[in-house]
Amino acid sequence: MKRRVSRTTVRNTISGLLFISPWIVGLLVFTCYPVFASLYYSFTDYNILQPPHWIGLANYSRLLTQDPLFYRAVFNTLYYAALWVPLNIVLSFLIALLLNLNVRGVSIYRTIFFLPSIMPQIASALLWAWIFNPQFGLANAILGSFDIPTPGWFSDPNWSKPSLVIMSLWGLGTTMVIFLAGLQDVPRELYEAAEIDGAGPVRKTWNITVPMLTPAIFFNLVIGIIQSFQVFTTVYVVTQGGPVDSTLFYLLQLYRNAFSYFNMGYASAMAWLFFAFVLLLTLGILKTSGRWVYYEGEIRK
Amino acid sequence: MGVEKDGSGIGAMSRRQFLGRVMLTGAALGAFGPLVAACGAAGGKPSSHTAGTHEGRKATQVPQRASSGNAVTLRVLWNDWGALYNKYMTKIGDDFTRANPTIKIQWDFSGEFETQLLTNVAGGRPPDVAFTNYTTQTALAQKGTLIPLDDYFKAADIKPDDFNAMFKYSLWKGKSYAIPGGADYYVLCWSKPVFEAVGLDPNKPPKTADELIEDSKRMLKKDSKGNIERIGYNPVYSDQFIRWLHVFGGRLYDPDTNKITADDPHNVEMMQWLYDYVKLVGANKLSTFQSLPGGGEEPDTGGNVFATKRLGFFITGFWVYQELDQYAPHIPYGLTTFPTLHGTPQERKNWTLTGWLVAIPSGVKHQDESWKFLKFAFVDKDAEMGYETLNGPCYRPTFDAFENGLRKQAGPHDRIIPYLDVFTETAKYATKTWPVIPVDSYYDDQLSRAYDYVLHGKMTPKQALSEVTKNVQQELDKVLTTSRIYKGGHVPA
Repeated sequence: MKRRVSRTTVRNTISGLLFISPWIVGLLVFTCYPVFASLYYSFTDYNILQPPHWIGLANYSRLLTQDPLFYRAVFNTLYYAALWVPLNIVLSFLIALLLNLNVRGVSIYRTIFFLPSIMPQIASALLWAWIFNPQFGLANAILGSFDIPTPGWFSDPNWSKPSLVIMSLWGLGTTMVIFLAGLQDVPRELYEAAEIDGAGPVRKTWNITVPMLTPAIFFNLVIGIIQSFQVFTTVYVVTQGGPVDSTLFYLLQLYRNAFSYFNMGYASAMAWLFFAFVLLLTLGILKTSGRWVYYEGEIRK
Repeated sequence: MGVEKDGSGIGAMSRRQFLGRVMLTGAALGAFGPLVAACGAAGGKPSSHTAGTHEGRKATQVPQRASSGNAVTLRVLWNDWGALYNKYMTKIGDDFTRANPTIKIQWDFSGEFETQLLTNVAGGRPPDVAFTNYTTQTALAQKGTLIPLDDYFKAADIKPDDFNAMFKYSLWKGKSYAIPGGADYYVLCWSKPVFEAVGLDPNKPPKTADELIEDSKRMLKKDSKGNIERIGYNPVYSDQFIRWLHVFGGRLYDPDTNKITADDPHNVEMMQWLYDYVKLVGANKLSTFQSLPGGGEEPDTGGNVFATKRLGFFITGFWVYQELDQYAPHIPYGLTTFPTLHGTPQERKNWTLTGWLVAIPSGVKHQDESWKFLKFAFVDKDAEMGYETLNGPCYRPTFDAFENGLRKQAGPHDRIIPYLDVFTETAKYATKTWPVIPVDSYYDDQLSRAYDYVLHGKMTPKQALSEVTKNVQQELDKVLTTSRIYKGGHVPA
């Protein structure tokens, strides 16, 4: 016998939907529609000002076979991600460990380390442009005082990407806070048991802290990869892709195609390739997570 | 390795699933970020006013002259010049409203005016009047985004020759799609103290390109690490490269054959000439010098390199007098016309004009009122607009009034006064412009890249400029083919 849905349930459902309707409308209009429209545009020659003209896979084909700047942008972005993501995780983890110590004034230290991550990116970028000025910047003044060779930082094609990585690491506060929250969730009894067994600080960190934090590491890894692929603001402000295309990142090239060259169809194709790559990478990491991510209370066979 | 639930209230699997889903959602949203950005402008259908039109034909055929006599408000999308100059521009608008009480001006200042114009037009809500740059004007006209103004010019008895060379930027296929707004009359500024410090006559500036480099070599002073302590001319700014190109007799485009000519032998020669000079110092050192506090293109901060006698020359416009009065008040300076190859008056035609224009987008409701404002600000009050907002006027009959206005505005004792004619001379005689093709912005970026590669010794001028020629030709052909698709409904063989 078919079960009747009560009037209250219907009313509650309608009320619920109405309450979240601004969000639903926003999602449909401002996210879903543009996303799917861009999929269509990626198969067209579309300059924004005239109607799109269907050209099939021509944008994708041109991207993959005829556009050397596409590969340059991909290389630069992967290079940046390969440097930034591991450094961001390791440094955030180490700082979180220090800030988890029971020392006086720890809240102040935590605030100090978190503060840069809420600083506007443009202000931060301008500040670092000064710090890294090869002639008068703080970085070279310090290096120079120890007779260490001073790099050209943003002015030097070989140093421009590492400079951006260092600059971005300044804002690792968000990642650090996630680790810190995870650290405070690690049961004390595990450490006590290890201490009874004679484990030292390194052993405890490696055998208890790290495994217990793997969900946080996993989360930060995926979010970090996505963030690193989206680097744009700092490059747009500080280097604008130069010198000699050494900081021409994927999104900068996408933006130029879309808004400077009126190639919105082409830019949409770039966006979809980007999406496909990030999705595949995330799925790949998700698939490997079963082997190295541990959840509290989980029993493994 | 398998995992099983531990039997507690919230299973480990559910946490894993939860986290996994969060990751996927994050990945999707993260990757969609740029997608949304990319199609933000594409969210709406193309404006019905532009859809299906080709090169503004529809707009030409159906002028919507909705002058009703009722009060109207014109939305003017303008480049954000900063509070001070925006205020002067607003004053022109107020004067216009005083003269035309039924038409009010609503200013929309935007640092990203080009992006905003695109999104406004795509969304079917174009501004009534739009600021356009010389690098995007042709692309906008070619795509039917702007209305032709020829009928208005004719009715007002304004002839193309009444404007200087900036008028060329308004043209596409013989029609004019904008009124020239402001031009950059670039001249050479020199520091008299630096001249004296290296034993040069402070009243004898270089007249030729080679003299400029010779003087600059004398001024060059480096520290033990090779950092620049003082330099004559710093050529790192890529837009200056275009100006030198015409001085050397080069060209970027051949309108007769529709061919890109970035690798023209004169262009190659010019780039080699600049590179030979840059080699003395190194591109990285020049960029470093540029990024010093006050090392930018203009002396617009305290302690700038001109004020501290570390820079001998820079290329600038008449706006510089305010900057120098404020930030280098004790430095005697001089201004002279842009150097040429041989320093002859005949070569003055090789000076380049760049600047901005003002256009009326297709489909606006108040075309006549918009034109009224254009004529008021950039014909009737062009001189005033020029000296108040520090933009070079383009309407020839106003040049003298502009010079007088600037003289009055600067004050009789200002250091710029003896040099004001340098700007009007540039305004009168310069004939060269950026190529008027619908891929100017792309061409600009490509040339900047080429220049960057050459200065860093990664490519020879010939290699770099040949690559530019190939890339831009490809882009131009693509854009013009698209244009033909719209015209004929098919791709021609």
